Amino acid sequence: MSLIDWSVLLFTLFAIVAYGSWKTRKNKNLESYLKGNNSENWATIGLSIMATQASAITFLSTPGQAYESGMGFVQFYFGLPLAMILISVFFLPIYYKLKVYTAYQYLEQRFDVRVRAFTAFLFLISRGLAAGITIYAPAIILSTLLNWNLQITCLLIGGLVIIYTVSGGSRAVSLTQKWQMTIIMGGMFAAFFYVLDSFPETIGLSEGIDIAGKLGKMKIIDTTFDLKEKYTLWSGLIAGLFLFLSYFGTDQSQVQRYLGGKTLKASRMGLMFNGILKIPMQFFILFIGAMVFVSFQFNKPPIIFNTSATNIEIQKQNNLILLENEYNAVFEEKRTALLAANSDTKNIQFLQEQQDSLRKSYKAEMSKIDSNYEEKDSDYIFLTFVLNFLPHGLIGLLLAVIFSAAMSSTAGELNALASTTTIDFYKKFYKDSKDEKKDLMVGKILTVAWGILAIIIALTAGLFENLIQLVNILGSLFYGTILGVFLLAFFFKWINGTAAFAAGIFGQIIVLSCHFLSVYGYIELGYLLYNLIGSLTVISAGVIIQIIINSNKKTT
Amino acid sequence: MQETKDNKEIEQKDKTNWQAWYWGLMIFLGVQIAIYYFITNLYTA
Repeated sequence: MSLIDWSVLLFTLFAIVAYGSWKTRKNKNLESYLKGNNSENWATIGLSIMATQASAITFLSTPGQAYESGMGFVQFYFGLPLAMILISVFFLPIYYKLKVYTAYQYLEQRFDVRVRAFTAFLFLISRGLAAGITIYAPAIILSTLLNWNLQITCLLIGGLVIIYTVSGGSRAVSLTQKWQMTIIMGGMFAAFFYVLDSFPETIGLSEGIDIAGKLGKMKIIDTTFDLKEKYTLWSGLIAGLFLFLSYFGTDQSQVQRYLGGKTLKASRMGLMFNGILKIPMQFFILFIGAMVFVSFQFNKPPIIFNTSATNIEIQKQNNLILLENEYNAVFEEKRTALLAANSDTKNIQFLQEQQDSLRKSYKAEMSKIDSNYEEKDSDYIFLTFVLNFLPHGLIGLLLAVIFSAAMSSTAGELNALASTTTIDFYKKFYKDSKDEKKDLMVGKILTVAWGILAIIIALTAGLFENLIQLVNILGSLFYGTILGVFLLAFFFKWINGTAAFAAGIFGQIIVLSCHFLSVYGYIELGYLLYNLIGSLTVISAGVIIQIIINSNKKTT
Repeated sequence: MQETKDNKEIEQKDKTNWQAWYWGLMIFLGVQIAIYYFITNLYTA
């Protein structure tokens, strides 16, 4: 990294933090701190919703996913626009009508305090852990590729987020997210043009797409109905609908974003904005990954992408050097074949398979030598390209993109965790004081506390081998149950609190059982399906329990 | 009661044709899926 990269990176980060803190420095009470006095317009809400969902790992991992497995991941988002419509029709008017701070407050009005505390507690567990990993995941990649100190990187991301989230609350989160999202998209567009620029002169965009297509990267839609497949048209539309309904409709980190809207119309428009732009945005990020793949058909890629100092030492072993030489020879042969006027598709596909197989063998050898070696290196692909092919200045901007994404999602999470703890636990069970200044102070202290906890989780995350994977599925483990309880509340008016509470606990036990049966190989289930299973179990159990309660009442 | 009344007033002031937005969004989703399906078939045939 050059001086100009450092300047761009530091200026961008500190300017955003200063802007967010300055613009929102006059919070006087808890309402302005947690809901921003309902002052946001639809564009801020829409961008803020998108920024909360898109963490740094979205921009690091998604292009790598297209590089390795093609663009099928976009199907994951097909349920999102449908979820936006349902939330706009059913969830949003109720939240507005009741003037709630958190989604879980509604459940007390509809059922009872047990149901509210239960769902809020599930949210705090899943989001509390996720906040730490939102910081850790980009920090480990940046520290590996740039030889930065991991602890300092985690402290920098977490520390900056705490400053403006504590000072400005919900409004600061939304305002900074608007600018962060602008920088993120600007940076990604710039990266895209440099990816195309890295192609040889005879290869343009259409030839690039053709090459990606021949090598299987343009397979977007999978219509097979296979429960083992994570991403198909059906899993995206059905299981994805439940996931996004739960995430956007009941997860406080999202609910808080649109509850800050000026009017119901502004909030609805924000949701429509997200529904329109989310799939094209994900498609674009995946497409960048597919084009990076094409670029690495002509510019020699490293055989592994997570080249930390330890890995570079291991790579000096003879058997690994031999494998790498063979890999490079296949690359040269394929490159020549691709540049030939009449390239033979089958031969190119064969050479690509050979190259993939050599890469796999190489990683297996690395694992034998170093048991700590992480074979999955797709998260490092995009950043490797950025560091090697982008001009100075733009490298700094792309790193600012990654930091901005990490900060925007962490800020949304901390803000929501503090709101839920303040409103659903502190004010509900401990002290409902009428002193606005004191309430505001409690909200700020809880934001700092959650921020420190997130940093501690980030600093210790490396000790737990599978923590990232665990947190990725953690949302799906709890979302289904939470959504099931909300659906009972909205659509089953004859069901009471006892039935909903018991059904929630039963649903959670079923989802956790499915997960452990899947982990130990007794059943095969994609984690997206947990959302569907959780929701349907809670609804069915709620209906059955209520019928039993009613029949018992009649008999007595 | 007051809150319900407030909400009705907000809804009445809002003249946006939300039905058109929802249908438009669903059609847009359908068009995107159709385009992606076409691209997939183009390269897997």
